[in-house]
Amino acid sequence: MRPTVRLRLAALYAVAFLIGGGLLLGFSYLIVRDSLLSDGPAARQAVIRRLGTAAVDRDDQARDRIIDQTRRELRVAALDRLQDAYVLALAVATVLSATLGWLLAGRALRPLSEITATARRVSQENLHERIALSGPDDELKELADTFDTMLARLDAAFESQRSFIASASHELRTPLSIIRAEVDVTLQSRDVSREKLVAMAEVVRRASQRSERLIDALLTLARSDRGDLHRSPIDLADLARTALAELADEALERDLRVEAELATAPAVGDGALLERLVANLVQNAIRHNVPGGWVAVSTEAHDGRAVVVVANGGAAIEPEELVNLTMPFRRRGVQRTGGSVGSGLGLSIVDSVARAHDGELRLATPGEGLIATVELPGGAATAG
Amino acid sequence: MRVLLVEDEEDLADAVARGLREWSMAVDVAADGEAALMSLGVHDYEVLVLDRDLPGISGDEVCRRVVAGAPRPRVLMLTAAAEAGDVVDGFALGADDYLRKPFDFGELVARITALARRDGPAAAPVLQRGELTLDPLRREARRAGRDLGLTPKELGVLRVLLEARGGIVSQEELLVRAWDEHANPFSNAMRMVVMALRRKVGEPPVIETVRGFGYRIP
Repeated sequence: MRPTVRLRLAALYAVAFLIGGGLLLGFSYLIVRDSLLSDGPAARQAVIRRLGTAAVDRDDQARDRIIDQTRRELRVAALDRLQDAYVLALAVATVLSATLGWLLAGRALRPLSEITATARRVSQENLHERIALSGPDDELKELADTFDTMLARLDAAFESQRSFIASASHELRTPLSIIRAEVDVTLQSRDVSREKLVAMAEVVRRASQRSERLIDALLTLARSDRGDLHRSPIDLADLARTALAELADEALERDLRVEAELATAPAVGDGALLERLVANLVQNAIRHNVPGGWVAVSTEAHDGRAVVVVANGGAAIEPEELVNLTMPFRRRGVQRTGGSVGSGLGLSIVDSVARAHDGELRLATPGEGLIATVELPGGAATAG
Repeated sequence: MRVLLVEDEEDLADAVARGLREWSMAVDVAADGEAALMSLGVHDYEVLVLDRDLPGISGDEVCRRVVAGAPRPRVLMLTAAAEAGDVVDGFALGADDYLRKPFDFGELVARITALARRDGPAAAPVLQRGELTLDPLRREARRAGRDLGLTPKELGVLRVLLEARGGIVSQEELLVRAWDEHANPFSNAMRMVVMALRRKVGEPPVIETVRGFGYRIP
């Protein structure tokens, strides 16, 4: 038989009872025997008193011998009976206590088997199952609750992974669907003019660029999530200048007022990833804006940290939606990127890159638009 | 045949609508759930091609509302989701058919045509009346075996007339079923198409004008 906790507990009960009971009965036996043994002359006198005066005159020796003889026989018989009764009682009680112990241990341990059963049942498919142990707030409940909390965390992690994959697959399929539909329709068309072919080529080109952008973004995110960094000293101000220069046309197109206050902000980090971080922040501020709005970019070194702040005007964001902004493929609450703007991974990448550099991304909504602040561990100040 | 295409990806909606029009379907396009519900409230459609992932009112919600209505179009759902569970969900919502993106355009046409055929008594895939036959999937109309070489619009009109099985088709009905929402009801486009159709069908004439009401092929 497997030495289960239940079995051991039952055995422990039985042994404890055997020892306790044995001691108790042993003492009792000794006391009884002692009292039967120690009262020789007193008992004799009591017998003589009962027999009355008639016996007093008899030959003392013979009388005493008879009395002692009788008394000894009675005493031995009584002690034997007592001993037999005690041994039997002890045996029965020990068996009973073992059984009781077995039952009690089973009862006390039942939550454990529930926990085990749930743990066995739980797999990737049903991570939402919980033990939800009821009963007193004891050690087992604590264990079960801890297990439930762990399951909840795992569930959330798997869920976000699943949702990420679903969204990524959706985003990757969309440009493919466009290409496929465009090509099919053109191939099956009765009259294919050069114009139609050019129009088709443009759509296909746009769709494949969209795929490329998405794949680049996914790869960047994967690299940053993996923490695969090639560190070198870098100034965030330079990165911001580059990003602003590259996106100047887009800002102009949207008639945006761009303010830049770029003080040197030395950091140490992966050049390509930090460049992506700053560019995404600026891009975000430009694209989620209103025509004629404003964008403000500033960089500085502060308390040994390198800080970049990108703020923009435009529609206010509900404070509870701020957390969603860094989630992949989400934009302003809707879990779709739709349209043509960006990959839907912009702020996810910023967040991931910041964390990979032991920094952090903070988002705030001051009543209009968005203020995104990234703080990174500072690097040695470089000249210029 | 009148189709409403609900798709938020502009390029995809463009390509599909253009393709379906070449298959002589009258196609309206809605870019989101709100627009779709509005169009559904105004026009009668035979088939609704519905993207499941729409911004705003979701495709699921649109499907639910459409299915709840009394005379309702057949619903073909499109989705980019890869999971089989999704297909089951779609049917549970009341969709009549389901297609995963990316899809083969020919398959889409075949499914839409098949869905439209489900209305009323089971219709033959090839429409026939007298010497005239029309095969929607091949985009061919023949008279006594001779290909008439019809344009998509002419095919669409001939199809509505053939589907009436000898009944009179009013000008309004023809406009609703063979033209999309951009048609101008006051233009004489319909008369022009019918005229061209008559010429191509040839002698003896088979399309009758019922004065002040519409047309029929007895």
